Amino acid sequence: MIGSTDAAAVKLLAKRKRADRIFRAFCFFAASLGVLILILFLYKILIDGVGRMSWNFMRTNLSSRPARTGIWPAIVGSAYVMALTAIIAVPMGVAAAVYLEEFNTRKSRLSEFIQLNIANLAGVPSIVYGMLGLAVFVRWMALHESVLSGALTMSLLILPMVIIVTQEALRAVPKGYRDGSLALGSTYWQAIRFQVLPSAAPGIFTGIILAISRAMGETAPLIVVGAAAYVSSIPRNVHDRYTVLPIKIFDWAGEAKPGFNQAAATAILVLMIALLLLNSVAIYLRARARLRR
Amino acid sequence: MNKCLLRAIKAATVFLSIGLAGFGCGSGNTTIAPLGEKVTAYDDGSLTIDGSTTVFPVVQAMGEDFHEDNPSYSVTINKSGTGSGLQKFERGEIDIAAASRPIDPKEDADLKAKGIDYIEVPIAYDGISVVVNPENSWVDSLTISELRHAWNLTSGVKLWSDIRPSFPKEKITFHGPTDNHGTYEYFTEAIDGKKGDIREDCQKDQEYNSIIQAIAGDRGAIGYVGFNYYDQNRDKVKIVPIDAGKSPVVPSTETIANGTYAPLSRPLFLYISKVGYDTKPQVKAFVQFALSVKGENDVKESSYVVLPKELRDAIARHLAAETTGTLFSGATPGTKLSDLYTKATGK
Amino acid sequence: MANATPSPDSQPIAPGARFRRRFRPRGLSEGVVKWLCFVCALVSILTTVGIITVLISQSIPFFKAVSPADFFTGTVWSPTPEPGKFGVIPLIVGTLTITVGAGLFAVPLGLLSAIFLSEYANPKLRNFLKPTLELLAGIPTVVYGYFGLFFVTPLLKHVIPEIQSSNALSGAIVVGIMILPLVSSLCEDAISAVPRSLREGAYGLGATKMEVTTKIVIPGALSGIMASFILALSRALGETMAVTLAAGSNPVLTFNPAKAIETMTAYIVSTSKGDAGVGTVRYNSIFAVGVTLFVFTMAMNLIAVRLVKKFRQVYS
Repeated sequence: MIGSTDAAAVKLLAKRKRADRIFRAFCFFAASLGVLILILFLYKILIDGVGRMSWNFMRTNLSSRPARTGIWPAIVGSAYVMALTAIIAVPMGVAAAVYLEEFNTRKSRLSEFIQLNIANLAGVPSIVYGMLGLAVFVRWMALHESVLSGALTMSLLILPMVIIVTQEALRAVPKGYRDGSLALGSTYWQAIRFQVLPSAAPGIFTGIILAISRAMGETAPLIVVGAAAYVSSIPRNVHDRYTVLPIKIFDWAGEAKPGFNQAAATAILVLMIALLLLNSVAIYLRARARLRR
Repeated sequence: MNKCLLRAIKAATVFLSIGLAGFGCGSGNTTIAPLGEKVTAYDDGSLTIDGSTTVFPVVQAMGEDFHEDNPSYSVTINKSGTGSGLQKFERGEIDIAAASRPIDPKEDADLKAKGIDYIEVPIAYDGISVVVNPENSWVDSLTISELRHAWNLTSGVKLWSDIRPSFPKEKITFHGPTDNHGTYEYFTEAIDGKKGDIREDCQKDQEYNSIIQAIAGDRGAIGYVGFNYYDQNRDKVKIVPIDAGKSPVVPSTETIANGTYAPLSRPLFLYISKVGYDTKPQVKAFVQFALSVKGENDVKESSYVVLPKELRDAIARHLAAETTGTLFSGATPGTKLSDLYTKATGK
Repeated sequence: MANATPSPDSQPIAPGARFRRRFRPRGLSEGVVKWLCFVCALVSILTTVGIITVLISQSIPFFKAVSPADFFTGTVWSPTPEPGKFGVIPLIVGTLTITVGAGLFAVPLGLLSAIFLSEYANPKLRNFLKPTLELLAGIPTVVYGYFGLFFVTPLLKHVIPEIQSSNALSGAIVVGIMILPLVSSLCEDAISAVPRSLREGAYGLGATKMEVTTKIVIPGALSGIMASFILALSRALGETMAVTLAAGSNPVLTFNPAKAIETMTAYIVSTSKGDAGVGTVRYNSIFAVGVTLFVFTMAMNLIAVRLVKKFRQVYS
C-alpha cells in the first residue's frame, strides 16, 4: 500500500537526511578545528617573535643578557648536527630498506623479526635514544659531548623512520619495472639500482626530508647527550661542543626574564621557517613525482 | 627522476661527506685525559664549565664577557646540575664545576681516590628568599621556629593562624623547587634541620618562574626561591623578612653580604682542577676574571650578591697559594664564610 | 598452495603456485652489496639490544636499593629525605592522564576530520586542508610546550583562575593538538583503503552518506583506525618536551587537572639535569623509569600490530 507508508517513509527520509547534514557539519568542524588551531598558533608566534626578528639576531652570538642575545651558534649547531645525521642515517636506512624489500624475497623469520623490531623502534620515546646515546657514544666510545655524539644519537632516532618510508616508496614501484628488467637479463642488483631506486627516489627523498625535519625539532635526546646551554662560538669540527636551536628555545621559554621569552618566540620563528622550507621541498618533489606517473 | 638530478645529489653527498670528514680530521684534537695525569696533548684553547642551574646565569655572564676579552679562548657552559657537574669534573670531562652547595664528603673522597686535587673558589652569595602573595597583608616577618613549624615533614599547619594566632584563618599553600635543586637541599637543611625534610603537600616545581607565578596567583600562598628570582619579580610577590633571633631582616645585597640575613644566605662555588689551573692558561685567566671587578659586575647583573672585599681577598690569597681541598666539610648552613677562611689561613 | 622454489633446471610447476625467487648474487660485488644491506638492517636490532642493555644494566643497582614491589605499587614519589620513597604510580598516572586526555581530544576530532577529508570534502578543499594538517604535524614538540605555557594556560586562567602555570589540562590539550594530525592522516589512509564498490553498493540501496560512512566504511577500516589510535596514543605517551614545559614537574598523585603533575618522560629530563649525584639511587631511578616507559610503548606498539592483523578485512 502506498498511502500510509508513504508519509512515514518520507518523514524517515527527511530525518535521515537531517542526520546526514548534522554529521557533515560535525566532520567539517573537526577538520577545520585543526586548521583554526594552526592559524591561531602561528599568529601567536608571529606576534610574539617578529619584534626581534632580524638578520642581526640570527648572526649574533649567544648572550646572558636577553636584549643582546642572538642565536647564531645554535643555528650553525643545528645545521651541523642535521647534516651529519643525514649523511649517517640515510645510506644506512636506504640500504636496510632495500635489503628488507628487495633482496629478502624469502621471508625468513629473521626478516619478520627485523621488521617488527623497526616498527617498535619507531615508537620508542626520543629520550630513551638519548639515554642510549649517552651510554654508548658519549661514555663507552668516549666521543664525549661532541657534535659527533649528537649526530650518531639522532641517526639512531630517525633510522626506523627512514627505513619505513623507503620501504613504502619501494613498494610503490610497480612490479613491472623489476620483472621487465629481469626478463631482459639483468641481475637483481642491476634491476634495483637502475630501475627501482631511481623510480622510488622522489618518495625516498620526501621521506628523508620529513625524517630530518622531525629530527630538527628534537630536544630531549640532545639534552641528555650533552648539547650545551651556552657556547661562545660555533663548532669548528665534529669533536667540538655545540648547542642547537630547540634547546635554546626550551631554555629561554622557561626563563624568568621576559626578554628571554620573547627571544624564544623569535627562535621558534627561525626554526619554523627552516622547517617550512624543508617541507616545501618535500611537497614539491612529491607533486613532481605524481605528475610523472 | 632525471639522471642529472640524481647525479647532482650523489655528487653533493660525496662532497659533503668529504668536507665534513675533513673537518673532523682537522684541528681540535682535544685529548681529554683524566685530570690526575699530565695533559700532554695539544690544548685547543677551550674552556668547559658545567654544573648547577642556579649558578648558571652568573657563570654564563662571566663566560660571555671573558670570551669578549679573550676571543682566542672558546667557552662552553652547560647546566646539568650540581651533582652531574661534579661527576663530570671527576671524570675529567670538564675544567670547572659550578656548584650551589659545597662538595660533599663522598664526592671529596672520590676525587681524592682518583688523585684529583681541586681548588674551591666561592664566587657569590645567594639568599634564599621567602615570598608571599602581594595581597598578603598580615605577614610582617616570620621567625625561624615558625618557618620550621610550618614547613617540616610532620607539620600539621593548614591555616595561617596555625603559624601565629594573630594571623587570619586563611588556607595556606606551600610552594618550592623540586628536590633536584640545591636551593631545596639548602632550605630544608637550614630550616628543618635535615636535608630533604619538607612537608609532603608542598607544591614542587622545576622552574622558579612557575613558583613565582603560582604564588602570585594565590592569596594564601607562601614559597621560597633564590634571591635573584625574587629580585627580578618584585612586582609579582612580596618578601617576608626573616627573624633569626635578633630582628627581622629583609634579604638584600647588603644583608646577604654581611651575613645578617641568616641562615638562608649561602655561597655559590666553582671547583677547579689544580692540574687544569696550572697547565691551561684559560682556566687560570677565567678564575681570576671571576674574582675581578668585571666578574663582580656579572654577579650583580645576575642579581646575586657580591662577596665582601675582605672575603674576596682571603679567597684570592687561598687561590694564590693553590690550597686544595674544601673548607666546608661539616659546615652547617649559617656558618660565616669569613670565619672559615680566617680559621684556615690564620689571617 | 604450493610454494615452489624454482631452480634453473625448471621443474614443472603447478599452475597458480606462488613464486618465491631466490636471490643468487652474480659475481662478488653483488654478494658484497647484499651483505652490506643486511648489515645495515641488523643495526636496528643492535639498537634495540643496546637500549635494553643500557636501561636494564643501569636500573639493576636501583632495584637492589628499592624493591620492585615498592617501586611498582608505591603511590608516593619522594626521593628526599633519604632514603626516599620511590613509588612510580604518580608518574604513571601523570603519563596516563596526559595520554588519555590527549586521546579524548584527538581521537574523535581526528576521526571525524579524516571522514570529512575522505568522504565529504571536494578535491579543492581537500588539497588545502590536508597539507595544512600535515603542517601541524611538523611543528616541533618544544614549540607546543611554548604554546602550552604562553597561550593555552593564560586562556584557561580565565576559566579556572587557580590554575597553576604548568598543569595537566594544558599538557593534555597541547599533546592532543599535536597528535591530531597523526590520527587524522592515519585514519584517512585506512578509510581510503576501503574499496569504492562497497560504498557504491550502499548508495545504490539508498543510504545517506552518513549511513554509508558509519555502517560500511568505518567497520571496514576498523583495523586501520584502531591501529592509528594506538599509534597516536603511543606517541602521546612518549612525548617529552611539550609536557615538561606545559604539564609541570610535580610528581604528585592527583586527578585535579588544574594542578601540575609529572610524566615519566618529564621526570627523566628534569632529573638528569638536576643536582642528584650520578650513581646515587635517585639518579638511577631515571633508568628504572626508562624501563617502565619502554615497556609501555613497546606493549602499545605490539597491541597495535596485533589489532591490525586481527581486524584486517581482506578485500579481494
